[in-house]
Amino acid sequence: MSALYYKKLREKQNPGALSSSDSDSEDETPRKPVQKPSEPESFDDDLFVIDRVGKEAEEGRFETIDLAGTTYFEPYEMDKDLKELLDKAVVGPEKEKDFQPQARLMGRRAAARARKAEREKTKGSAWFNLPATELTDEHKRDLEFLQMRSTLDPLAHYKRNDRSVLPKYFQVGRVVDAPEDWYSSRMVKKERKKTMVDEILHNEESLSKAKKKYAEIRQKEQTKRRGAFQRFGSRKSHKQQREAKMKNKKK
Amino acid sequence: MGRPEFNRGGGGGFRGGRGGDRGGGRGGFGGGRGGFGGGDRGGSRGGFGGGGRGGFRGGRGGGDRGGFGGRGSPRGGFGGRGSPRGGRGSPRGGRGGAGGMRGGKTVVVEPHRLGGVFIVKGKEDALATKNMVVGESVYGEKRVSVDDGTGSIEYRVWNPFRSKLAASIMGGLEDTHIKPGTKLLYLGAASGTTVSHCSDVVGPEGIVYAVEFSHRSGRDLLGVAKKRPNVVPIVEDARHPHKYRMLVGMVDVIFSDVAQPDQARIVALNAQNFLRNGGHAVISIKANCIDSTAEPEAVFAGEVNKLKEEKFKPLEQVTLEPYERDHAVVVAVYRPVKGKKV
Repeated sequence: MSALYYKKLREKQNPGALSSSDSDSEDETPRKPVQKPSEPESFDDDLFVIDRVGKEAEEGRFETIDLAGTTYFEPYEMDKDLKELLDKAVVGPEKEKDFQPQARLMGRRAAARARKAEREKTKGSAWFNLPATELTDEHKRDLEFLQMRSTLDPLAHYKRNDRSVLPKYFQVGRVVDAPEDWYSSRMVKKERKKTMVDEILHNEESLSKAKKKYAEIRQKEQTKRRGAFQRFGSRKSHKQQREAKMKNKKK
Repeated sequence: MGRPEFNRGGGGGFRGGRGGDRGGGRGGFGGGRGGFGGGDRGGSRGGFGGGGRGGFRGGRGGGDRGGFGGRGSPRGGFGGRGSPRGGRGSPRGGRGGAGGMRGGKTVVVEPHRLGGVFIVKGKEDALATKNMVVGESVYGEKRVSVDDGTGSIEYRVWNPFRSKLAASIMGGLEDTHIKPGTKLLYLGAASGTTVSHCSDVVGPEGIVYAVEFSHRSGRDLLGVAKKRPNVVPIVEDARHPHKYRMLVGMVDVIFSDVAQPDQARIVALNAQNFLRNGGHAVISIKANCIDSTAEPEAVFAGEVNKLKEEKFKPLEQVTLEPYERDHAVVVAVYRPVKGKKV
């Protein structure tokens, strides 16, 4: 009864009742409409009786009052301009259902770039996230050594390198020695070095080989050097060299 | 130059050092496989990397491989105490001093083309899998530990001479279809050496159902499964899948290494029970076990035909030549789903 009373009172004071009641609730509209859809049913059972007798009720619209004492019409009809504005609003009814607000802090492309950068940090889950280890000088030398290892041992046959660049995803590890290892299958403390290159540089076998190779190359270079003709005569072809060798043998 | 050995020994010193190396180096991966191809550096040369294969020639003979008879006999030919070392009847315990894989060596671990598989690169290359149980070596294989500050990571070297799956990868199989997250039914698990590597490959999200009939090697298998949460050991006959149907769920891949004349039937039975449509079967065929008189190629073709009758579509076949004699691995897809990439 009171609602009707207030309404009539207001109508008396202000002939434009509809617009006034709208403007009353305008200040809290962004919040209010959210509760609307579920409310009409529950209102029937509410302690606070809603007066539904009146002109508007016949037309399918009736006035109601909430606990705060604000009066508005139901079903709620929003002001046109307000609706237009609210449609563009970022914080709408859906917003409250979004428990984890996901503000886009960067653009779509930037986000894709960031994702890619993140993805490229590891080889992926198929290789248990093998990381792209930082290429320090030591690592770089080790990887280059691996690429050129065939030169170290002329008798060994290695598969051709499957890429010309250094690998991006790798890890540097150390073979664990087991107590049951025989002496031959473990390195002594002196031989253990931090990097592969160090191991090679402290290996006398490889050093001697490198020395030999170096001497060989130097000798070859000597015949190509300026003035070599004066000193050693003309360079002989392979055939000539072979023949000369045969001659020496016969002698 | 700060290299005392260099000054001390002179030329002779080198030779001496070399000799010492030689003894150990020879073992390579083959363990006791009757010596490598002769050359004094054979061992260190052999190793993995494709080119190395030549080095193994002539080394594979010898009756010392033993223990490969019927299915009942455990493949490992392990010592009576179930020592975790011995390989296929290798007299030296399967652990020849691997030239390029000596304890303490620095190596680089790189990803292999196939998911879950890695390559350890040093003086030689080796296949490896990421160890699930850090600090444990299952059958005396070498491990590589990586210290990256976040905790220890370990890789286990995977020897193609002891695992037909590794041999087939070395042989250039395009895809084993076993990768992280795969559910795998492994028939003929034996002592669980390859199973342990499969368990590494499929990782914590995958699962390996390992079926082995022999109780003797089943015991070793249990030891492997104890430490690995993703291995389900089943000591049953693979011919009767209904006996373990309550243990095994739908699987993506069946790997079969049973070396039985009716292998195709065994695989088909298990596929009917457990393999999903479009799933794969990876079958290792030992020609001698199926028909010792026929040509190996004919035997392989016959097995492939048998598979075809069982709704398998063969995809590829590789021989395990440098590693096993007269063996082939066949990959087939089961009831391929139309329009889907196999």
